[in-house]
Amino acid sequence: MAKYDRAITVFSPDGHLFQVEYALEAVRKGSTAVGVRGKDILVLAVERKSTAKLQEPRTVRKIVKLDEHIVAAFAGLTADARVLINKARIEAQSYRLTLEDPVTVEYITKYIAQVQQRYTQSGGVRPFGISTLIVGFDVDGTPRLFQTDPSGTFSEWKANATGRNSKTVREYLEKNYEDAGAEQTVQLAVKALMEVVESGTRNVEVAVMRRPKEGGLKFLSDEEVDAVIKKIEEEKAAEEAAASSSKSQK
Amino acid sequence: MEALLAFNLRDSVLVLVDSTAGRSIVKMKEDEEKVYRIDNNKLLAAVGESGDRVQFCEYIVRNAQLYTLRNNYPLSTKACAHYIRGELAESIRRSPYNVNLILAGVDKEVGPSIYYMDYLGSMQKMNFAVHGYAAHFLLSLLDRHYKADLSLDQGVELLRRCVNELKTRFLIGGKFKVKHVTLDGTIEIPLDMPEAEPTPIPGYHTPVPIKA
Repeated sequence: MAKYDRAITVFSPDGHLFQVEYALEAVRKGSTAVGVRGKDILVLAVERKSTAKLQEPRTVRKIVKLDEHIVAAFAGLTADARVLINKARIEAQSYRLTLEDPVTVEYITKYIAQVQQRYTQSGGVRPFGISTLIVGFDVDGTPRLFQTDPSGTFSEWKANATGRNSKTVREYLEKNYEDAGAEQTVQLAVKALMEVVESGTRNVEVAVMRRPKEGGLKFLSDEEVDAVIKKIEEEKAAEEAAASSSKSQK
Repeated sequence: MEALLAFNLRDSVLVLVDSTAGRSIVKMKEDEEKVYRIDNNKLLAAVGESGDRVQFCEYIVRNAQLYTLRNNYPLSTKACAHYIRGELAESIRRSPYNVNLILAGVDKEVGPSIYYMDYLGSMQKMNFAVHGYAAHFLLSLLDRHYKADLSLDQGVELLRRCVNELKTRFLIGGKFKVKHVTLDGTIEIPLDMPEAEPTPIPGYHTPVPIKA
């Protein structure tokens, strides 16, 4: 009888945990997810994987609610995400039951990271092949964006991306990030995603999180995403026209 | 003793619950909240052992929320009632919860519904229901005066009759809270009870000559 007590994730001679690194590779193969923090808003934009013709697109959800005030996006193995998200949801309610308070974004991120770490140091299991972006408002009204990865580390970010081509997106965010209002933050998230994804509502899904009194979580409809993309393209065209006209004037 | 009463209106539910918290012969507070909001259109009102009541109801509320988050869809009143009954039935032979409950909810297709449950895990869907000693006084009153399709005003008037009855004939009494459950949400209604004489009912409050 095989005993499931032997660890799969073990150190290599030069101090690497290869299973964790391979898990990160799996994340890199997943579709891109972008998160941006604004002054009074948090935006998650994900690359909508192209669904087969006969497939129902609404069952492929990459942005999920963890509690009334916290939302998460992920990149990597969808089935692993389902398990992890379920654990996080239970923990959020359990916390509410025991402490009569909603979880802070940091707490639930720490919990998810803890679970991911446990699976790198237990017998018979492999690490989760996902990185998550967790956004929400704390009770004091501060917007927060956190990221976790298969190794179990987590950190807070002003803006970040994970999944396919996340490096390109992150570089774009580093160049263009500003702590701004709602419209600009949504635009930045979509612009950043469009660096690596074909533009169009078929390929982009956007969710916006505001404070509970200001509306809470909202998924942008296809028309709203179209409008944002249109505005971005108009601004781009205007910039190019201005740049070329100034060039010709010289 | 604790009183808990609910009845269906045309498309909403009225719940009356006493708000006394006490032990033995001492009344500790008069504004205890014994109604738990499960979600926008469902209320769980409970009477019984106060520790069990809080523990059980909070547990139910949190699990209902978990269901909503997991499935992106809220529980129907019927489903919720059966879930609660299941929990009570499971626990009766282990560590019983000494709580009697009424689940009041409004669903779009079904309309208003009331599920009466007791601590043994029995459940019945009813048009009006009463828990506690108050049942001895109020069930007959409701049998007489309850009609289907009541409006909110008629319902509150009926509630006033019930509270009056308890104040007149029930040994132990205190303050009450009234909740109104509709499809759009739940709201607390103040039950302005005039301290004056109750509406006299001939033959009950005033004598009526017996025809020879």
